[in-house]
Amino acid sequence: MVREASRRSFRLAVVDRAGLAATFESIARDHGWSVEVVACSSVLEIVGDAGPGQLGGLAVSVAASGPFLTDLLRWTESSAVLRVPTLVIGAGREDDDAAARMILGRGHVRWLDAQPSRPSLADWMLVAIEVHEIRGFRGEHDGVAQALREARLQLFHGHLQSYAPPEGPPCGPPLPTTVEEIQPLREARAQFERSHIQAAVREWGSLKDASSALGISYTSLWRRLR
Amino acid sequence: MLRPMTEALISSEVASVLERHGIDANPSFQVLDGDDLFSVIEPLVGRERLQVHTSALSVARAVRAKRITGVLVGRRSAGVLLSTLANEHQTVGVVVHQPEADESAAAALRSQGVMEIVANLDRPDWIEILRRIIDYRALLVLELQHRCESKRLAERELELLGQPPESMSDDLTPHQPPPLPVGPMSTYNLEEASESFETAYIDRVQQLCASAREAAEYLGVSSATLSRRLRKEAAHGA
Repeated sequence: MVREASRRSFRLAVVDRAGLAATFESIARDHGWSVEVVACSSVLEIVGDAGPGQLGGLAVSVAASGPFLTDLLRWTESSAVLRVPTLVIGAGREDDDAAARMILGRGHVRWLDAQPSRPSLADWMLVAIEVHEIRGFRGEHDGVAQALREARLQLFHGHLQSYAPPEGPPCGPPLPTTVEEIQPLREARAQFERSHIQAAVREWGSLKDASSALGISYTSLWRRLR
Repeated sequence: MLRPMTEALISSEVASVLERHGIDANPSFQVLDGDDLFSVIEPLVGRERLQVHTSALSVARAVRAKRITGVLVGRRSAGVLLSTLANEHQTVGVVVHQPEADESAAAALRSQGVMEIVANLDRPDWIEILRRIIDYRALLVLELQHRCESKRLAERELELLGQPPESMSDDLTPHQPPPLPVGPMSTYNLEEASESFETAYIDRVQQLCASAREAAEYLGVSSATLSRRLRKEAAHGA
């Protein structure tokens, strides 16, 4: 089962001159994904000073990138921690070999042969959206952790007498690091399930959809939430 | 549901967030070398919340085991306790009873991580002091929850981008539980996700314990159940 809508707006830049951007738009529309497609006809529109800024994904055809594919791939990994998920689509010509060699060792770049099928494009887009959402939630968790740390230091020094912590997204329980921290399996699992259910409800938006995704009945979900 | 006395010992906002994360918000206190402290604190918090220790190491172990806790210690044992807590990498709110006014000693204690130094046990704001050390610990617990989840998300991101997490880390733990679901491709099925979490949890407990029997005891399951479960996992892995 695949969730149909992305919570966060996802920006996808497409460097191509043969209607690839329109194909991606149509795929996103068909699946109900919230995707902003930025169509570019040249690599310079991405790597130049007036580039599109933060991207969730980048799709580029070898035919449109010409000799600048290496520069574009370097641009996608300019931030080691936020590499842009990238798709390179062959042109069905001799220079495909050289282009395919460029993606070796670049885990965030995927290759598809010329004339890719819609399902394979959709599969790649799904991965890019997932990465985008993961990064969004990581940002939220890190932000909450930082706020908690600052408040904790203020409490320590007596500058604060009390603090209302932000709710933040749900978290799975940490694994124990010493025997003293081991909880009975039943309790640890219950804590995990509670957080998992909260996350599923958050992602799906309705209890009905969430219960279906969780593989439990609506009544069971209702009982667990209560 | 928190008992009335607990409500005074932890801020309601903090308790409610802990409960939303499934963390028991009932606080406890560890006392070392503090007969005077004990007699003052007991009527305020109740005997069942106080654990009296005879060594600093025992306090450090209790701090590991109790998530929402604080420490009360007499002046004589404060130095040893603070260095033990530091060696054990434990961060917890510590209150020291130091009857004699000694500014330089107080400054030294604060620099070692003491939250509050109490000279006079007859003070009216004990509840506020205790609430502050419990809130302090609770915020740390919540912070670690978020940092852990963020790390799991980072590992999942590496996996999706074609870089297996083990190639980026020297962490020898073979199984990490998956992060909570965040996107269209995540595992939402409760049974599947819970099994995956249990596998990682059991694996970690086994690493920490000397034998399967000890692991089963800590996990609160019989040795037979644990070995059946491990056989099942081995069969799946094979």
